[in-house]
Amino acid sequence: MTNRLQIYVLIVAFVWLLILPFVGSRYSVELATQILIFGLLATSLNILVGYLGAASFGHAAFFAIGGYACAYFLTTLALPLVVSMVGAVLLTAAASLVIGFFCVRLNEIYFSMLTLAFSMLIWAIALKWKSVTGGDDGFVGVAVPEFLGNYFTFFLFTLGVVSVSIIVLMIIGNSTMGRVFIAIRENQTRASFLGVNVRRMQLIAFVIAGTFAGVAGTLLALYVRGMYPETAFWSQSGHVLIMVLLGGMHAFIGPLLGASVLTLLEVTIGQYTEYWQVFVGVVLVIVVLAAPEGIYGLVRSVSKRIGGRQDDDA
Amino acid sequence: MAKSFKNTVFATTAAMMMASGIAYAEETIKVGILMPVSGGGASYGVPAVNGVKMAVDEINAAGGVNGMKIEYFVRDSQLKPDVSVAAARELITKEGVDVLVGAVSSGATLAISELAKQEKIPLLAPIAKAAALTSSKLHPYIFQLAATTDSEGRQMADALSVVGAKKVCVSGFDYAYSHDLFDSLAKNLKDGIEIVDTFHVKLGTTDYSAVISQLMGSDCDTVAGAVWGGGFIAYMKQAGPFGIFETKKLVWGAEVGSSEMAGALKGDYPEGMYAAAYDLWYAEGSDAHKKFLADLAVIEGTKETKMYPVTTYIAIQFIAEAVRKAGSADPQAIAKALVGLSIDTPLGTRTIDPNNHRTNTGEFWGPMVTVSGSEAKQMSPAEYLE
Repeated sequence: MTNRLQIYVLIVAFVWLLILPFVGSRYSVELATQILIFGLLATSLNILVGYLGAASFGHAAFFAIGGYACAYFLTTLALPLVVSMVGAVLLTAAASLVIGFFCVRLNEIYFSMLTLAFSMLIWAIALKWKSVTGGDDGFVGVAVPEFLGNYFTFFLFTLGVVSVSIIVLMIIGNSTMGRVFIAIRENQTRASFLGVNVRRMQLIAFVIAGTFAGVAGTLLALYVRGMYPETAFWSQSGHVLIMVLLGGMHAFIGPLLGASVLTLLEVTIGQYTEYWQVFVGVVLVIVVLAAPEGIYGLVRSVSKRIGGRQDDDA
Repeated sequence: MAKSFKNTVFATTAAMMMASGIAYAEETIKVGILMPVSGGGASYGVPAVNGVKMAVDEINAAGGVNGMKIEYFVRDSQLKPDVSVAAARELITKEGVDVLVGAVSSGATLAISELAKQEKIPLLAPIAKAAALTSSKLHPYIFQLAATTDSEGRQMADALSVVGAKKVCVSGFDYAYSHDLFDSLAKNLKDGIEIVDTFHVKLGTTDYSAVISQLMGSDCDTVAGAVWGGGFIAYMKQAGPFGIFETKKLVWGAEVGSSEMAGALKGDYPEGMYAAAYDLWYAEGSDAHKKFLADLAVIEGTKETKMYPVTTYIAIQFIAEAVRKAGSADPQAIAKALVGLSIDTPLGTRTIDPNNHRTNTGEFWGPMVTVSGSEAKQMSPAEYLE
């Protein structure tokens, strides 16, 4: 799912993002920060959707757990930033292990429904556990360290964390483990006959996806300086799933593309009309009809026609 | 001589540039409006934006504030805190707004308030009632123009005394607003009135049969409610056939005395229910109120105008007066000028308390009764309580 072209695109994007805070407006840097956070969230979901072939409708739960845990450690317990972030990510990994243990026992729609059910459970906890989460008022006023207090340093910090996470996810995706995930997606029975412990590999994929969603959640808590129950709501999971489908689930950079395009569409159209949802909906319908493999798939098929050569995608 | 000439030209040019810079910077007062103008919150957000439009058009038509026109930018807050924060950031960093107005839900407003504090941009909250906004989360840039759960609880306690309640059941959505409201109510109860039962329902629920049965079985003589919006409509429609309106008195907060609610329920609206509303199109008010309602009727295309425009209209009035007082549209100057500021509004004089940044916002309270010539019940007599 990762080819040379995608790696070049990622390198170019990274260099461009590295220059952006020095040459771009504050607005563009803020927008890029949001895109990076949601790009990581979507890429983590794609481990399940694109690699494993399992559509999770509850990925936002891990996004929220990471965010709330980071906010709590940093603000209520006054722990240092690194300890708070690492602690939050470990907690998210543990939560995804527990939730994944139950979810991977089911397939297809039943798997999706169970992930949705667990997500709503996390949402309900965020709503009800007021002493820790702030309830429906949210966890307001995360104690962000002073060095992250301005948009410039925060962007560079986010870029660093997201880049490292993306590299790790890419290494996992290209490893034997990643190939096994794809084998399970293509044919579970055949994979198990080849000696793959399907359920265990599904659980590993679930934990990896949940853990990196937790990383994205910690960044969101720092960026927004708060966490809110809506972050765990099913509609948030649906939103990220749209990013994955829009960008292309069978390409590593697809979710990053999807997150960028959807965020830019929402933000820019929303500035001109209160009926932005209609326009975004129409654009999504066109993309889905014209490019069922997402934006990356569309670009690839167009470049194939022009160049007349095969790509080396897996 | 040449050097002197060059210096003069340089100084003059610099002065002109500075002057033009100031003139440009202060050409307009930029106001960012964060309201839910789509989805479930649109019934609040769209009328609220109408209030902004009315106030801005009036002020600009009268020449603006100190020669500066007001320009406003509306963004959809979608009732979501993270979306609201992202939109507020965009308004601050891209549009360069000097002041923010919003949002509807307490969660979204608390989230924006945190950003306002960080960015040192004043935020006027005309609708969100969470007391936390101006208590535990108070900072120099937040100003709460809505009635808070503290004041609403006090008003509800007064209303319970008026209807002669003794034993009260409370019923609301099971979340912070209802909890805070009924906490405030409990603190303000008098005349020997006591809360004997609590019957909360899940936020957003549509089935009230279980809670209605429980209410019927309780020995309370009055129900104090806080279910709002579509939930209130469903609650009342389902409660009617049980005969609950005949056996218990009803006192309801959450602004269900509005013409929107009365119009939606028509004959199903409980006769005599003691309810509250920010504004009433038929209320006997000052000339300023009459003019406000007449102008609003033109914008909304009906004389039965909505309740929320007045909240944002007053917010824009506060901003204009603060800029006038500060002599500048600088956000920090506006924030300082807002502290302790008094203005005349269509609903009387409003003052921002310098200690907690709240206003003396009141609400109309009274029994909802049938009036001739109207399908919708109306509040009569309507008393404005602060």
